[in-house]
Amino acid sequence: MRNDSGIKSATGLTGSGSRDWIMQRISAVVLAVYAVVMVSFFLFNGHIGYEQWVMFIMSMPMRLLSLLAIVALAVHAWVGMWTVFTDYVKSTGLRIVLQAAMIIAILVYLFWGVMIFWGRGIM
Amino acid sequence: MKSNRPINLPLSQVISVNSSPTARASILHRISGIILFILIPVMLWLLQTSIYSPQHFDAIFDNMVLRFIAWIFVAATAYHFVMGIKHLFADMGFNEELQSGRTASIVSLVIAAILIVLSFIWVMF
Repeated sequence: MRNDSGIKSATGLTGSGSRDWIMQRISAVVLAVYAVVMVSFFLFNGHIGYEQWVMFIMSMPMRLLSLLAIVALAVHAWVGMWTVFTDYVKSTGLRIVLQAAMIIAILVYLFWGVMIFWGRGIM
Repeated sequence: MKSNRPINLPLSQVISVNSSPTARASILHRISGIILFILIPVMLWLLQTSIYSPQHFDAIFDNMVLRFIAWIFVAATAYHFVMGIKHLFADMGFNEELQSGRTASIVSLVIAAILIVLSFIWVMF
């Protein structure tokens, strides 16, 4: 049956392949910057204590950057895992179940990440 | 006309047919992404615990098992990072031909291997 809906995949991130593609690149750059910042902190500070760590990770710029990174992660993981599932899981039923689980997991990661940086890590 | 071309080959067969550096680099990029996706909750938990109190912070840093898991995350990140950069260059039209793509894959694999070894020493010791 021909798909005239304009939406090629119900479980893709944006419903458009080219938009998914560009979102994956933008989020990749954000995550790459975040990785470099985190590694630089540990690399250039030698032995890190609790105070120094909390001062760094809970500083205003790092809270913002971390929130940006967790949103980028949600976008990036969605497009990436979707691609993996559509390429290797041929059974439609199983793929829908796996993609649904993936979407729920991504939302959990997203909200958990937000809670850590806005709720000051309440356990 | 009905084509007898095989479709939906199992991944194991695809890998045995195409074992070029380009194919290896590509499939490992995907595997490293899956590993990162699975380890994200562990890293979120480590992050949350590390900022809770100095005792929690020290407990994480003194635990070799947690350090090892953190290293796996760092190693997968390093690999995914290097291959991601290669991919972004390919998007811009660099190293897209058979030979240059192969060279770029080998160079990326070597850089990634070095980073993975260095990160092991860095995280574990």
